[in-house]
Amino acid sequence: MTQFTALTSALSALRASQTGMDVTSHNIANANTAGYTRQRVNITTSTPYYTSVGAIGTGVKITDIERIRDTFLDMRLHASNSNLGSLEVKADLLGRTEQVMGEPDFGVTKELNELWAAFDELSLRPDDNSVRLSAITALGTLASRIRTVSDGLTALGEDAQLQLENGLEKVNDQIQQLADVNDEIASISATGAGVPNDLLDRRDILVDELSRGIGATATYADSGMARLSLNGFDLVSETRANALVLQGDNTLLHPSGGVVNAGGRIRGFQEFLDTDPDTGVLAGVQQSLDDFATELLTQLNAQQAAGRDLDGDTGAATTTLLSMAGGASSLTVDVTRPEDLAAADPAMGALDGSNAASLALLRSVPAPPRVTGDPYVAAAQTITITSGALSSVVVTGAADTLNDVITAINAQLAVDGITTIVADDNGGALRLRETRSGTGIEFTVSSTGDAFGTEGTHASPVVDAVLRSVVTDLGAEVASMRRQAGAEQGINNTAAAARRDHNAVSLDEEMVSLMTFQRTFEAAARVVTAVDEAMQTIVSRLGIVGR
Amino acid sequence: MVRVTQEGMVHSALLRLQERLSSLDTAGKRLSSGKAVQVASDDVSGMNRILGLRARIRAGEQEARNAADGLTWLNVADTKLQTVSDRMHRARELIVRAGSTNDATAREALASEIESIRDDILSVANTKIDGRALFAGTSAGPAVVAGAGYTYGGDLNDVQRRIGAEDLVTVNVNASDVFGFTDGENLFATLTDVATDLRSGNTQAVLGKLDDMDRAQQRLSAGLAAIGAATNHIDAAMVRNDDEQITLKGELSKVEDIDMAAAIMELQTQEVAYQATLGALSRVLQPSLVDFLR
Repeated sequence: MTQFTALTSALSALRASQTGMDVTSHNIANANTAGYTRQRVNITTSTPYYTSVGAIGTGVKITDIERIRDTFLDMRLHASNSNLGSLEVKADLLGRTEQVMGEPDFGVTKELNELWAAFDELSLRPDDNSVRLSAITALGTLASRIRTVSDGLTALGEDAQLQLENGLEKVNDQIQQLADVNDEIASISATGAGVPNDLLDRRDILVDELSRGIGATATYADSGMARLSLNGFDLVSETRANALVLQGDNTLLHPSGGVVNAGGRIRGFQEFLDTDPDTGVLAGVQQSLDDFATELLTQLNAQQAAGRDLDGDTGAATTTLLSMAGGASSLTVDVTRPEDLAAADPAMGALDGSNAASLALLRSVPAPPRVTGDPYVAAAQTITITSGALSSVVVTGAADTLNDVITAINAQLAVDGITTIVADDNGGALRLRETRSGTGIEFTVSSTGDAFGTEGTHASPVVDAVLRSVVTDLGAEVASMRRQAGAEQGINNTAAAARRDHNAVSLDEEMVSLMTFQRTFEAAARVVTAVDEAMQTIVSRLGIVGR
Repeated sequence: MVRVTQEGMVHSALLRLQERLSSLDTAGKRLSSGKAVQVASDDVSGMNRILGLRARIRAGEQEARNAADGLTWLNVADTKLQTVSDRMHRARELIVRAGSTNDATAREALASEIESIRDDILSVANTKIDGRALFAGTSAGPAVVAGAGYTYGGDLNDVQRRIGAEDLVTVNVNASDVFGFTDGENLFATLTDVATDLRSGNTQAVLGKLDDMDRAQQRLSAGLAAIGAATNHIDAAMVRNDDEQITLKGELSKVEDIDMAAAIMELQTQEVAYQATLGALSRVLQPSLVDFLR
């Protein structure tokens, strides 16, 4: 053992303490830096010095400066981030959809109630043109309200589309940044120097944001480079960034040619904007609004055609109340002249208002069922013509259409020696009319079982109830989405808190290590002084005995 | 042991504050708007009920208007037919008196009064309500066309008012039923005949018309009875409608409006909770080892 060994080990202690204080001060300085991971100096004893009495320690050695980070906690947070991103986007957009509907104070329901009242009022004064005009105005207000809601939904969709495009642009930008960080990490690793912890923090912040933005997950190479992937596709592989391209149908195209299923916020926008009414949120609401408008139009027009207007027009000659070229946004009022409102029942006098009362009654009583599409006959139904001199007609074969039925009936009629008949739709019940003029015999068709089955006959719902279910279905969806987003937010908060508790700087802890390093530094300095004094004894005092 | 850090504490503190503030905001919004359900997602079944109740209330208001309108029809008809009844009593009196009057001048006077009664009744029969013939059914009228004879100009259709979801009431009587236009039953023709017979001195024929007059009076009474029944029906329906409106509005308020006392309590509770959170945080976040090191 020499005096010099002690000096060297004291020096190593001084250096270690200094480094310790440096790292502690860096931790304290970054206590509030977003995404900062606390660092720690790892020290170990240096190689011992062997003497005849055994190995003697030579001081302390700094092995590395460690980032205190747990990848498992990161993964937990990233998984939740992906779900949360998608749910919060949908909850937010759905909430805005509900506001566009404006129920219950500024929505369609209010105007619909006013329309029924206006029709009732018309039934009281069918001869008064001003009352007729106000019914037309009520109709116009309702149509305009429906159009406004429909246009609002379209505008919301356009806004969400824009947000999707901006969101993807941001994601692509972050993908590029992550590739750049990888590049920096690679070049520093190549020099053999350790990768700066702060660069790794920058990398992890980007991965965090990408997990929320698009649901991507990362794995890490030994070099420290991140590999970012999303359902099997590499978004960042080493220093290469694979930007995603938004296609016309809002799917994402990977440079390799595959379609990437996104997660995170991007997925929220995609699901909201999905154009399939069965799966897409916005398309579903738009569709149910269109369905409501169609139902309203069909029932009102049918009731109008059942009446007689002031010009004496009835049936098809009456002006239709509403028409719609495409969706609800094209709903327009056809009737403009007050005289064209068919307030009277054709069987009644000129000043009758009972058809207007029937219009108003649509508020609570459904219109008769009607046949839409191709009426359907199940296999081997027996159809009996009850009021006519015909024997029964048997229709065989599965899924016969109305035309098959008529063909079969006509075949039987030919046997019975009667002229052919045609079928038409009489408010849902199939009515068969003889084409032979003058006789006007009407046949009713009865059948065993579901002759003109569910595919063909549609019970007419009450218009009010249709609209109400549009509103409440949307409300239920909003409430459910908010609950889901809230639950996911809770999970996310827990995961984030667990990670923060692990990664973040504790000032108390840092103060303690600062003090520890300070004391070690002081002690090591004392060692240097002690050795120095001992050496001084050797150098100045030795061999001067008796002087 | 779980590691607790300053950053973690700040974050969770902010989260808690945010939650508290959001509850406070919700409580404040409910109180200031007075509405427990503002959008469907607040309470889906509540909204369904609100929309249903509002539609029903609006319909009920309209039914009350329909009923009031119907009542106007009935009241006017009633008043008018009462005057007809009075005039017919007078005509009957005159006819009876004619039986004992032989003086040509007096008979002429009776005849012209009978004619004037006929014209009075004619003008009543052609009464208009809001520009529309009251006794002409659903036709444009006039109810009675006076030409060579007297014929009914209207139709036999009912004028109906919907005073409830399932409640239709007929609010008119038509001149054909009240005054009769078949042979021998035509009140106007009868009165004309009476005047003619008076002038020609055919007392027997004049007295013979008394039966016709009685039948006319019965028809009129039947009309008045129908009007009375309909009036009672509407009166009862209006009372029921008023009751229903009160019930429905109470129901609506129960679903839609907040319980003011509860909402104020809720707001204060949230306020206290928020302040408590603030206070606790200011104490928890302040001390650190730094304060105790020299």
